[in-house]
Amino acid sequence: MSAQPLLSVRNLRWAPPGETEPVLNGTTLDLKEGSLSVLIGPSGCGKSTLGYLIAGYYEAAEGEVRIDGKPVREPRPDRLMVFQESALWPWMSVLDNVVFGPLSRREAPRREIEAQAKALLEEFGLSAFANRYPHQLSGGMKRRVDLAQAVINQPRLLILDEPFRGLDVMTRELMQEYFLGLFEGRGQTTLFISSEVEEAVFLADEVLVMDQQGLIAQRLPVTLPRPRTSAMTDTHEFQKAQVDLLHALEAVQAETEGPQSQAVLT
Amino acid sequence: MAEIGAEIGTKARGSVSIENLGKVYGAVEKAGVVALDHCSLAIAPNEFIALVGPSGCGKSTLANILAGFDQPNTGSVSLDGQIIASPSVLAKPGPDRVMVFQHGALFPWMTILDNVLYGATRSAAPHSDDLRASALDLLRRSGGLNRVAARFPGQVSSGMQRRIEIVRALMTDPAILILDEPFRAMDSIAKSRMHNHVLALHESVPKTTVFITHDLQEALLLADRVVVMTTRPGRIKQIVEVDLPRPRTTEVLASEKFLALKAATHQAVHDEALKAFEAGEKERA
Amino acid sequence: MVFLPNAGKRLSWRRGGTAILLFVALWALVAHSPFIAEGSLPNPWETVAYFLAEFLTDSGYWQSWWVSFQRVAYGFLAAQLLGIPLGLLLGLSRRANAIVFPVFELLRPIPPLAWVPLSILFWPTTESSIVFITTVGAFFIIVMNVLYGIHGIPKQYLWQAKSLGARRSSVFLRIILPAILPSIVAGMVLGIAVTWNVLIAAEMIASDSGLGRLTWEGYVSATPAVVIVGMASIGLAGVISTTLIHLFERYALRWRSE
Repeated sequence: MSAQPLLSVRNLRWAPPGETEPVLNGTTLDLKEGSLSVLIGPSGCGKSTLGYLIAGYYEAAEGEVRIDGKPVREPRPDRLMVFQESALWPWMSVLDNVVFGPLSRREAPRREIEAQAKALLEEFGLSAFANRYPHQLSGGMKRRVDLAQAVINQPRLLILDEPFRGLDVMTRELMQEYFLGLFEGRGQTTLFISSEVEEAVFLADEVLVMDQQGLIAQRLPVTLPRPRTSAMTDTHEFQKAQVDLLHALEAVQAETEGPQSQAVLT
Repeated sequence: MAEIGAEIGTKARGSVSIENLGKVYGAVEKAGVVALDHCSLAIAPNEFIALVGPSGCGKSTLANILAGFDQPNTGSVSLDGQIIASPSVLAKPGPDRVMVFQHGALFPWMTILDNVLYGATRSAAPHSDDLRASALDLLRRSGGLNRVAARFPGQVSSGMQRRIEIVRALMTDPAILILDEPFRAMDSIAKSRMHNHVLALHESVPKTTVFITHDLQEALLLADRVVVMTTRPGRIKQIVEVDLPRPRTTEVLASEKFLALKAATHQAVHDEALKAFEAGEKERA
Repeated sequence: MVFLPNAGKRLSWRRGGTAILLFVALWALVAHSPFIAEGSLPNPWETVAYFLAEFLTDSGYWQSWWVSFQRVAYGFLAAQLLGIPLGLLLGLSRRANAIVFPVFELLRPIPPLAWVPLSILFWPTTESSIVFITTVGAFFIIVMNVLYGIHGIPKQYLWQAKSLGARRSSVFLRIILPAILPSIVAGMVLGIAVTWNVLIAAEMIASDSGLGRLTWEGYVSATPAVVIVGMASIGLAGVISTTLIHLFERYALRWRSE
């Protein structure tokens, strides 16, 4: 175990501008290099907000975020986020979207960067679509371009905000397998935000359950071996982890709602 | 199944027989899209059937034919001995087969109770305190929704809206209830609660139900039988008897039996998903 | 059934043709109805005959087209050239917004035609004052559309660009400008219609040339056929310029889904 966590979040407090009720009320969290952690919690508990703070889009009222020991103050290419709504720029071709980062930073000649991007698209099964506009792609394809757009920059930390939400369950399963291939092949440190129990257990080394205060209420390690395959979801271990996580979520939700309102508010 | 219907004293109805059903979109002679091909299935009264398959496997086509929104090119569907769909019977929706859609259609300007009553008064004759009472009773059985009866749809969660729609559909006392991926957009917690509500409702007000989903786990959890469909052309690939005891709750997910059922079906569903996915990618290339 | 206009889809030629024929028939019917004073409204074929005899080969008539089109083009372009930068300034700089926006909001409700007297006094030539008024018509629409466009940019578009290390100039040129292009084009579609509105009125009031003036002269000389030909010409001119804008739209926004 390395001495220093790749990501360290300490006592993070954040409220929307002009509001006093904090969304995050003292969140603390560490992520090890090379780990895949899934952050899950009731909707509106502040999962995305935490992602935005780590990425540097929001400024914390209190507490701090450090990556490799250095405090996060602004967005930077070493911590990239893939958003729930695909943020591909619709006026750029798939290839232009993917090369945008390295090209903006002028890291290498255009030709080199494009070759790299094409190799990545090939890996994602998208080489036939390099010159298409995003609107010509299916939902599953867009999500893979989103991943390529981030991964080409070799970020230290990848934050995925419910990237497969809105896809049907079957396509989502296939996308999860794609992503696992990417993660397991590169050891890409990832914080994956999800609202799906099955997804969380299937992907994670560790599931982080967030409560309504935005605090990590529980950390559930998942001990399924890697590389993971969809056959593993038929194992007792998987099924049990899923039920345990469902219980943990119910507990987190019940805590704030109280037993009375529970039936009415769902 | 059948015995539950007898228990609450209603005559067992809602027996569906699907025979050799086929549907082709576009001109047949020009090799149109075969959405449904030689589908045969008998559904017992009050049975809960789940149709599972990838997008474009024809499960929605089947549901649309059942609901009377679409007409088959071959074969027939009969309901309690009467043919309701065939190439020669004009497709017609009716209150005896009600469909609840993925994106709901509650009238936002009516209270929840009025929405539910509207479902009934449009078709059923009695319009009285009795009707109100039975509407409130159904709402209560669907997880205590009677407590929000006076609110407007916009004031309750999307999960509740879906349940209210199911109650509204049940108010017409249909012979078949068709649910088209009603919980697709929900997160795990909301979905798992919905599953428990649907299980409880089906067990207290049994109905012949056809539930369409992409999600195998959801299908196994809710249904008496799961029908796995192939990607185009839509055929029935596998029928799984779900012999998990009722009443069920989501706790059953951790049982050995559930696991065995899932393991037996998973590969078939996964293969179809992959096939559909690859076909979809090729189509765009 | 509820009638839903199917925007985007073109009506078939047959239906469009039928509608126009029906309109012509209705026109003929009205022209010959007893409620209309004899000679005050020429019927369709009288109008066409008049057009063929008096206008088709009359260079003055085509001169009116040319003059009006030129004025619309100048006014419209000036509105874009002034409006887009101002919209960007108001939308992107909080300070500029605080200083300029109140004045802008004060001037915006003034109808373009209310600028006629001032602009005749202020501008040296009739031509320049008419172009000015036309500009005013489209200017406010463009500015507002650019503002809405900027506010409507999904924040993720900008975040992503910053995360990936884009410079400010690149964020502006490659993200912000294309992102607001749909709003700019929407402003153009509205703006061109307003430009014609304003121009015709301004020509009637203050000019001695153009299609507006031609129509007005028909009234002054009590020749209803001239009025009708003038109106039809204005209608056609409007259709032509809107079509041009739509062609531009189809090219500039080809990256958008249907």
